[in-house]
Amino acid sequence: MTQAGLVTDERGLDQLTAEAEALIGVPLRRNVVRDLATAGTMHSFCKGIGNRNPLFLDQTPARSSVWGNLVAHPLYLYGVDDTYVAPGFAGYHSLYGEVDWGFSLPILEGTRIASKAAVERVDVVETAFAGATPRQRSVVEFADSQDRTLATARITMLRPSRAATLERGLYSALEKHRYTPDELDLVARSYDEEKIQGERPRYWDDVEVGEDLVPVVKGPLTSEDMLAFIRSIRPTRLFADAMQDMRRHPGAFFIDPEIGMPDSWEEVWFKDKVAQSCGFPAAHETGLQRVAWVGDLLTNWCSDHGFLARLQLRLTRPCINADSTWSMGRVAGKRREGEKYLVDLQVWAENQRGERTAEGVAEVLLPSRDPQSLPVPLQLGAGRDG
Amino acid sequence: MADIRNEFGRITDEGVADLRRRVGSYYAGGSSVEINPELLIRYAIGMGTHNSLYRDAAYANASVHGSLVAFPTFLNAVKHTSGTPVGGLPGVQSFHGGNRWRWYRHVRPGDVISATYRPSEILEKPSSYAGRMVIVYADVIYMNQDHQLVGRAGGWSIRTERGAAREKGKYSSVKKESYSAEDLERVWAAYDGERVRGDEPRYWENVAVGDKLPPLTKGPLRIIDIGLSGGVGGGSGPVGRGAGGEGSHYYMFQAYRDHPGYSEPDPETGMPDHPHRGHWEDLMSQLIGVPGAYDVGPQRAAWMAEVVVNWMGDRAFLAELDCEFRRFNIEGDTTTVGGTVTDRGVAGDQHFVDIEIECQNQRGEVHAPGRARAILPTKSGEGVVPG
Repeated sequence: MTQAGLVTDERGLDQLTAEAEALIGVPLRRNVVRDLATAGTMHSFCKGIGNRNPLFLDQTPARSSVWGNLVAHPLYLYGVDDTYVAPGFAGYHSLYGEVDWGFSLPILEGTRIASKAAVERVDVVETAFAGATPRQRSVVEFADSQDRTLATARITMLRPSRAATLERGLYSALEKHRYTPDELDLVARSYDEEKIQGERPRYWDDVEVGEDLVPVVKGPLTSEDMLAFIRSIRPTRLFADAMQDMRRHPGAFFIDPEIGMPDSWEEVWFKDKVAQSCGFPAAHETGLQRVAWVGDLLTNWCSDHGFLARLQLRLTRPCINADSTWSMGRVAGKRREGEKYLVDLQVWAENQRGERTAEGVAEVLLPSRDPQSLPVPLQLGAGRDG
Repeated sequence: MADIRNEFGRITDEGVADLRRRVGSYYAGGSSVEINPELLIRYAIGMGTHNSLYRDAAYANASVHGSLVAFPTFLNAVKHTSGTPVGGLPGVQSFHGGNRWRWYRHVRPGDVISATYRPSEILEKPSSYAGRMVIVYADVIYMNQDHQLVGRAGGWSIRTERGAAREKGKYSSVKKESYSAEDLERVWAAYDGERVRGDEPRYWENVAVGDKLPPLTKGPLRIIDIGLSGGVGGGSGPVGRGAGGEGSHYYMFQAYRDHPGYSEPDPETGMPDHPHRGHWEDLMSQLIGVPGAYDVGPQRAAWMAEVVVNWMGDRAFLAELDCEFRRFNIEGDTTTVGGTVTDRGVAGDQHFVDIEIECQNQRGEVHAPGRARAILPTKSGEGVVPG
């Protein structure tokens, strides 16, 4: 075989876009190792994002909850399918830009899960980061063994040209943060003040529009946090497997300039030098983690009785090594839809510099004090004997 | 009793006495794991074996075993096997020195494996120019749901004062490798040439002393190969809960607050530093005298088991592996794992072969020597192979 990893695709953006458009609607092959929700992997995912909720971690409280079983964190599904849908555009980088998750059913221990993915739309947008940037919008659907929809994710991937990001140098002046003792104290206080509503129901009736959620901090972000997260969602493929991957998807690899060995673009998550070659100031978070962290904010708040029904999040600034991220939210409204008692929220993420790095909306189902109302598992409308 | 924390980074008589008092004590820490196919497959993928018996459910279900079986060193992911978890001697470097594995029966989906961990011996080596050195031994026992012994691992870690001074000497002439296109072609040709004996039996009668095992290639090592192999972090890789995985963010932050001796501020960012960060970051490895991020012992033990299981076939059983981790591999290193049959015989009703194993990197350094014993089937049908 020829030397892999040096993608010297000379074809223009127009042709690459046309080829990517040809994939619209085509079912994509996904690299799925996990198809069963087990206590061990559910617990491991929570440890990988720093989640502290006994409902997700521990069978004993979970079994006495309204769900009757260990429940997976909603973003546990990243361990089934990471929703990075980025076919084609060889030689271009892949960035998680935005996701809109709709959650239909809880993931209980023992659930068998399958995913299906297809690209829905391809276009080119102008970004400050990389100029003319291809954008792929896709859908990933998760279903159980009875083919009931568990969740649907609508994803936007951005495909910046690495050369363009270096030319523009949007983040070239950014450096890793240096923490003062006071700043570390602030992080410590936020960890200590994190609040998990837990067993006590959060009643829809008591929720006030304009109410702020207690923020959830994750940081300072370290390389071992990155390793723990990736490890919790999938095995890495190395040696002969990596060689096979290189042959199939040369665009996912590059030649390390120092050592001359092939390496995966996934190193942007761990190695500063590799991230810098893609226009970032340092190794950066996957995008998936920020979505999961905002998931913590909402699941901490909604109590064991509640259910996260929708989480839409757009990532607006990078989150790099050493950054601390506060997930924050505010109640924007509440409403009824048939049997459902819903709360609408605005959500966002802020870092230690006070910069907003993500924003979006969420919907949560809550129990109501109304004696005619249904418990949330029944509000979801799909009985297990269906 | 002297305040041990006042002697951060030093090996003191009080510190050694404290370690000796721990010998024989059972160390707690959630180590019971329900085995399902995904755990076994993820470990096999994560350590880089192509052997279908350990990673392909369809193949394994049709095999003589009737199911997937755990790769032998999978047990390391249930409970880590170095002396490092013994703790003590705050601020003193700890390097995983080696293992002595003994296996008695297979691990299969549906099993529940629990493990005990106990410090077993503390040995002080004579002092040298680089200060005092202590070797901490541990004994790990693995049992299944029927309380049968599945495996046992002796392991040890080397605790050294002024570890940087000691290591610098060893690696002062080592630099990261630089591969040409031809070098890479040779590595890929080696991968393409790898074969697994698989279902075809290797009969004890057909093995001769001096037989060479087909070598394995492992590398070039990337940061993600080291960091994500599942051998790092006390085995928090594929098994989640059961392996005492530390967890991110709050969990580490709190661990540093609970154990002030566990970390120091990162020189670049001021945030608390993980003591093992040298395994995946150049800056931290260089601070202890190693020229690049360095690999982990358990990963290499897995390679050494693999060279034997790939050769011995599905119907044989790997009973023993002794391995020593003498030198680090760093980012970019490529290792060839080779084995030679040194002995064959009968012990009770088991027909065994002993194999000498060497892991040699592209610099020609034998960084991990070892030996293994495999129990083989016989053409005559005599004898028993554990299963």
